Amino acid sequence: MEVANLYDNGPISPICQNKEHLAIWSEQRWIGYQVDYIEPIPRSGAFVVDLMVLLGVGVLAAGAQLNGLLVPAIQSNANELGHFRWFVIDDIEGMLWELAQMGRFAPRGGQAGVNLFTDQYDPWLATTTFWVLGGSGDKDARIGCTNVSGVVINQARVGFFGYRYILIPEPTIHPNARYLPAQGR
Amino acid sequence: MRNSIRKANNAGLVTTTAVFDLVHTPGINRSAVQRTAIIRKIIAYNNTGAGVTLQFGTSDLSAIPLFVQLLPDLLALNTVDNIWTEADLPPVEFSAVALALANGRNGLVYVLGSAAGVIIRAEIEEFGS
Repeated sequence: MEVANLYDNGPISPICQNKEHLAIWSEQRWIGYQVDYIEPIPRSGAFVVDLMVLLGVGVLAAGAQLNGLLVPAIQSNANELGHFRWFVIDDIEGMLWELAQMGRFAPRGGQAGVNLFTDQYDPWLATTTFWVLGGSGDKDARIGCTNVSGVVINQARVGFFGYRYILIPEPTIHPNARYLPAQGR
Repeated sequence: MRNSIRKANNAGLVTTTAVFDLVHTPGINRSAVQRTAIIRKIIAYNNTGAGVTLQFGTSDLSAIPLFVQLLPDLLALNTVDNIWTEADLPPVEFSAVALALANGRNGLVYVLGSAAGVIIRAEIEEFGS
C-alpha cells in the first residue's frame, strides 16, 4: 500500500508501513514509537456520532454552539494511534480540540472548522486529517460545533474514518522516524 | 468556484395568508453573515377555488418590515399542480443587506399571496462557507 505524506491531497493512506518509526507530537514534546500493526477504519455508522446525543440535548438553536465534547468513538488505547479524517452530515461547523483545549486548525486569525462545504473544496478531506494518541494523560480529541443552518436543528452528526496503529514505545526517536502532530501548537 | 448546498425550505409547508409568510431562513457562515439563497423549485397547491398570485421576495429592515418582491408574480392555478423548477425561475439571490430601514434587506425568503390558503414547498440552494 502506498505510504502518504501527512496531509496528501488524495485518498487517505497510512503514513508509514509496519515496523517503521514515528515521532508523535503530544503533550508538548516529540515521543518515539515503532509501528507494530496498522488496520483501516472505513467510513461506517459506528463512527458517525451525533454530538447532541452525546451531550444529551434535544435541540440546538440557530447560531448556537456546543463546546468541545469528548468523543468516545475515537478514543485510543494506550500505545495506539488513531489517524482520522472527518466530515459533518448536518448543517453545522465542527471544531476540533486535542488535549482538552488545544485548538486544531488554528492559525492566528481564528480556528478553522469542518462544514458541509469542506468536501466540495477538498473532496478527500485531506485538510481535516488529525491524529489521536492513546496513553496516560488526557490526549483525547474533542469535537464541538456551531449550528450554521439558520434554524433550530435536532441532530449534529460528525463522522470519522482512517487508520489505527498499534505502537511500541521507543526510548529515543529513531533517525528514520516520520514526524506527525497529535496536538496543536 | 461557487459551492452550495440544497435544502427544502426550513419553514416546512407554508400556507399563504394575507401577509407575507416566511418560507426559508438561509444559514449563516462562521462570521455570522447570512448565506446567499436562491430558490430552485417551488411547488404550490391551490384548492381555494380561484387562481392565486404568489410573490416571492424578502423583507426590508423598516420598523414595520415591508415586503420587497424579488421574483415576478407567479400564478398558482386552481386545482392544478403548480410546479416551477430551476429552468423556470431566474437565479435571484436572496441575501442580507445591512443598510438601515427601507434600504436594508433581511435576506429571508418570504411569499405573499393574493389570497390565503395556497400551500407551498420550495427547494432552496444556499451558497456559503
